Amino acid sequence: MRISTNQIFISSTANMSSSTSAIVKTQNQLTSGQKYQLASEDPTGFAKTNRLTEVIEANQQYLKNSTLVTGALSVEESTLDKIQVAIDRVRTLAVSVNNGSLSHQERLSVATEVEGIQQEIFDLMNSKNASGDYIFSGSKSSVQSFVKDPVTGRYEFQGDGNTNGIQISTSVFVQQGDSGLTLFEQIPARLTATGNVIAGPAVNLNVSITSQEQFDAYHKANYDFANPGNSQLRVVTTAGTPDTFEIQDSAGLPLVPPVTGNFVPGEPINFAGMEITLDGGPGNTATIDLDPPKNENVLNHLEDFKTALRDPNITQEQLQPVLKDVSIGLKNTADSALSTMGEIGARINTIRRVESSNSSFDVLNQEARARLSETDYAEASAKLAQQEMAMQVAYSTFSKVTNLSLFDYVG
Amino acid sequence: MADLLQIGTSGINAFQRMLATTGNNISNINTPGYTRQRNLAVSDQFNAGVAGVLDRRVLDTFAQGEMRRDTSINSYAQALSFELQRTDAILSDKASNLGTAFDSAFQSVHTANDDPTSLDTRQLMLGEMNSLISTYNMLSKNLAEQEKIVNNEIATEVSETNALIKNVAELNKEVMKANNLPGGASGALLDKRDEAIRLLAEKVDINVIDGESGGKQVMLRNGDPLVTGVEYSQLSVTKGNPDSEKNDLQLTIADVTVKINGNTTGGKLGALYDFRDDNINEVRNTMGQLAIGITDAFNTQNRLGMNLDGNLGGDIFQLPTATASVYENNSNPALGVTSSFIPGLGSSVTAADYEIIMTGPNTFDIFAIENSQRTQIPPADITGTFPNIEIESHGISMTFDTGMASGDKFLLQPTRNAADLVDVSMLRPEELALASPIRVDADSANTSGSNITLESVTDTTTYAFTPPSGLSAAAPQEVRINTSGGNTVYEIYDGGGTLLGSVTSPPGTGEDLLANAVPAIVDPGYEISISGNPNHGETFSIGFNDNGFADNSNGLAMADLQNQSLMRKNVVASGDNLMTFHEAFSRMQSSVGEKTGNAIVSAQAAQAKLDSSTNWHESVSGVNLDEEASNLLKFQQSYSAAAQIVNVARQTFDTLLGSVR
Repeated sequence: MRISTNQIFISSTANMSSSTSAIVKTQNQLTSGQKYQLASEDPTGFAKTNRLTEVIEANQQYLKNSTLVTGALSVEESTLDKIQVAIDRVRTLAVSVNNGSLSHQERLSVATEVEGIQQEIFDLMNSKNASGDYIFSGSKSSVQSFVKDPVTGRYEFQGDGNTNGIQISTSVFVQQGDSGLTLFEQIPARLTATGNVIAGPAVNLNVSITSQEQFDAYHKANYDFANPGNSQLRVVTTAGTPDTFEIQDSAGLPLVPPVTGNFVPGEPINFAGMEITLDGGPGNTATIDLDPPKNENVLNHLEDFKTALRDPNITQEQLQPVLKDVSIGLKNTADSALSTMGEIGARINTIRRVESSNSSFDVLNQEARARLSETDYAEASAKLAQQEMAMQVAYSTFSKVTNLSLFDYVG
Repeated sequence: MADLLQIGTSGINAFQRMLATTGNNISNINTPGYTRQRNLAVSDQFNAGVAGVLDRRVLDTFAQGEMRRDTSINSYAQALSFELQRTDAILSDKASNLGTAFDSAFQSVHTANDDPTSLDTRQLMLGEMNSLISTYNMLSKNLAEQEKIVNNEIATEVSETNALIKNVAELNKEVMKANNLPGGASGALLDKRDEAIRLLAEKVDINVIDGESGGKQVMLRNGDPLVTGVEYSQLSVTKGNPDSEKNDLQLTIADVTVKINGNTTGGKLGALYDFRDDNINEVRNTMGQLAIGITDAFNTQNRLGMNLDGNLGGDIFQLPTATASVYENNSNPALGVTSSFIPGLGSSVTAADYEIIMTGPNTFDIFAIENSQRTQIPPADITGTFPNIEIESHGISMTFDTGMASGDKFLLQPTRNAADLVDVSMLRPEELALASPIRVDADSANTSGSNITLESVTDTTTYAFTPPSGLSAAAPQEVRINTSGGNTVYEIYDGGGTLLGSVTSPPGTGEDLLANAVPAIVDPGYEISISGNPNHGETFSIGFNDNGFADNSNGLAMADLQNQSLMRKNVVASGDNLMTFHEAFSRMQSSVGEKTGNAIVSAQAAQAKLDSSTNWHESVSGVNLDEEASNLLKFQQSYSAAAQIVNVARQTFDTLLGSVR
């Protein structure tokens, strides 16, 4: 086919310019590390890379969140641990007061020690984190968790029961803290019963709980929240030979099975873990009310303990109920702290597991993204060498072809 | 009788002409559009010798025609590919990448959630919101800039095309005049005209047919004449109707002006129109839709929370309004329509344009235009009373001026400039509402360990809330447990102690108490559940979250917006028509990328085709220096031979004269 002189030049130049642009593109890939600069070069690859980048960045954020939460939970755990240690010390003190008869001076020194521990626990309950937020105040983090009311002398909780969740993966949220409401306020106090003589000659009635466990079980089975009036027992002592007592329900009907026995004034009647002692009669009717369950803060228990210890006129018998209240309150609070520490451990375990699974997904995602969008250096370098060679061949053939002219040989 | 002298002279003349032609070919090798010329020698019929020599261009008109067609196609493909590549580069730019901006924004929400009372993290979050809007603004400005440049380019191309048309007409005149003279039009003149026509073919797609007296008729692809003999038309641009920024094309032929659709012209001009009308428009609308979707979602979520001032949250972003373009023939061009986006319905906003046609002073039809598809919005979707109407299924509300006539038309493009105009209206980081507005608590005297949880906050504009902070007395604020009847009754009281309703369990459960209450409680905008076995007399309180600033539940909901599908896919709502923000951005980027990739491939194909037809044309009409060199030699020798004849003729004459003397 006939070729014009212009065609020779045009086609050679076109080839050289396309070789140059191919080399420049390969060089771009090598220096930027990215296979594609524009979406037009690989639209679906670009879209997939976008998606993978989103997931990878989100993962980084979740890792940061995990670290923050783990830190906060560790601080909380160590605080609870210290509180629990302090509580144990008070329990030891309470046992020692219970064991022997102490003199008033000795009681005063115990009271001082109790005060010291109470202050320590108070400080720990009002712990703040590094940002200055109270960790047990729930979402009212700028308000002090516990304060002592100057008028009543009782300790009160000022926060709320809210806790925050922190997201550590797409669908896993970890609770960041615990509120003082559930940890320290809603701690059950010791269950008790109150006795009243309602009929008959004037006698002294003493109701004391000798087996707390038995009484607790009875209370749980028989306390009627809807009709507290029904949570009542009646003790009727009747004269006769011999004198008898009978325990009836709130309506005056005998219990099933009936509880009766011989009555001797001054001798305790044992029922449901209680010792009921009437020092006179017979001929009395007394009511035993199961007291409604209530919650009490351990700080208030310790306050009551201190007050009792500092009372110069208190007897060992009067001290008993206070000691029992304090023991139960301390035990329940310690249990609450321990179980929360266990929960915290579980949360930290969850965080660790999720972190490690996130990390391994992260590696997979990074790999996938690299395969899609990053330059394969080996391949690109080889391509560059090949293109360079093609370029050089184009240059040398250009000079050869364009130097041919008949005019050089004619005339 | 053949005269030797005359034979020789005729030969000399002929070969002189041939040498001149060869010289012409060699000298014009670099002249664009030059067709090599050959001489046709015609032998004398009556006497011997060469009667005459005709100049002929060596031209294959089919090759030339094909090259011209391929020139137009290639021009179109290159121009379109160039513009699309610029758009692609704008969207793929790593520095102003929307995907990265989204990621950073959501990460800042997570960081703020880790410590909601810290002003630093809040400031960071507000800063990231600003940066997200800046990215939108910048991308949108770049796209708008590109559209403006294309518009200007259209004007420039039109004036260049006009000059070329005029040129062709003048050359036609020259050719027709020259054809009346003996010898006809010279090759150079014809070449000049062909080149002018080829340059015109780059601008627009043309058809060329031979006219009378050697003139050529040039027409647009759709048949509109550009040059007819010596008459020519001129193109001009006029202000668009209704969008005055988008120039329209018109053709003036002998004082008659006709409107032309720019997309039908082909060539570079057609490419610019196609890009402006089909491609860039779509991208700008989609970007606007994306901007509205994300800002409305954040605004709505912020309003469901409580900020660091202790008040119900407000808007973070300010969404723009749009004014419709008015068509020319409207009864009163001063009357128009404005639109704004309905708060909370960002996920219904489309990337469509809307055409409003009045059917009476108070009635109208609305059509949604997307991807060149025109669908009417059913009247059932249009609510409100004229002149303030709402279309909830599209997320927009419109306000009409009064006093319009039937037949008035408007073009509303709500999302076109949205990405440009959207702005951050929140100034203080304290205004970010990360906490929940409601606090629920179990009373500290409760002994059963039952928990109350806030299931959701769905609406803070109900009767239950008294802005800026607080619950109204009529809102449900307490739940008391009553087990006296043998089952558990959750009694719900308002702030004044009035019993509003209750849920009995069984058969009910402690879940979603407000929705399941009997008698029914008017939805206060929040929902609660109580778990566990509560005892009689226990109480649970629901209140405004005073001082509860460390709560992050609304912030968590905001962070979750990243995973929720809040962007509408198509105008035609069918089945799963929602996608996440990141998906929507990816979709836009890869759709542009795909179109650009296709355009690049088309351009490469068009270039290859043009190269091939150019080669064909060149192989016929191009000058080959080697060939000319050998021709030069040939004609030189012929000339010497012919000169020799003259010499011989002279010698014979001299001999004759010598013999007679």
